[in-house]
Amino acid sequence: MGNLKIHVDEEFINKLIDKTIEEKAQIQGLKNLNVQLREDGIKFQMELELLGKKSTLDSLIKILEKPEDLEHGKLRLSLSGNEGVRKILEGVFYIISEFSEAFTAKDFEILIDFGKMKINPIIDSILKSIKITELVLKEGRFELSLELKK
Amino acid sequence: MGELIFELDDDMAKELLIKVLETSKLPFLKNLFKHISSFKFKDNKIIFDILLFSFNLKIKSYPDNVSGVYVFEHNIPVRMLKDQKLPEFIELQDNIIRLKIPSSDILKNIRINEFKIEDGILRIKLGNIN
Repeated sequence: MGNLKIHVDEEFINKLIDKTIEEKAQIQGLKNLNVQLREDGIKFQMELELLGKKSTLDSLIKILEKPEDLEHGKLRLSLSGNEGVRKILEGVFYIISEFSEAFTAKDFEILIDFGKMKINPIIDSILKSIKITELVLKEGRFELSLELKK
Repeated sequence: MGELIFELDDDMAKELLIKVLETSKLPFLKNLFKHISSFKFKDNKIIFDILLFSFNLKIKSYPDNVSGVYVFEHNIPVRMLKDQKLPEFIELQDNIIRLKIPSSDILKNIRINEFKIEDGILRIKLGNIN
């Protein structure tokens, strides 16, 4: 057959983030980070405490285009929500795009072009022989299924 | 529920293993695996036939957290591999292979709820540490 499946729910991700933030005193100001896996995308909610002031920031990453395979496919994302968070995320992807041609960030849209991705010879050759049969976000779950190309 | 499920079948595992070895610096293993005729997941065992030999690796124990030591029993003649430079996280003894996954801030907070091989599938279920 040749299948690989990864299913993860948001509770797992959130508990892991909580535990990691709790132990890391370095991430000052960040009180809570919550991730929701929804049909329209991934929603991030951050609770911050800076200079004694509490605030909550939201951001939504929408999936506009999904890749069919990992050799030539494209993943297109859009960022929305709080402008500050949007700018930070866009900035992060902009920095990555300086290092890898596979990433481009423009006007709150992020494009990951797997055709231009070069990681290392092992991973590149693995990506070439795999296709995506399922990539869904629904009811708090992320489900990814991969299959070997014949 | 708070769960991550990872499932890999034997065909995909064989293909990935061959691909990884193709580009590795382990010429002996690379050549050996060109002659692999069967690769199966069954009863907590990885069973693979190469030329006229049948080898197996059996899950003996696994750690509570993702990081830690995974122990497998095997019947691979160790002297065949003694000149190979294995990665540091693999420790090979006569009938035992130990995989040591180093701890990290994230890995130490992930619990292994299930680590099983049955009916052609390797299944790992992960959960949170309270």
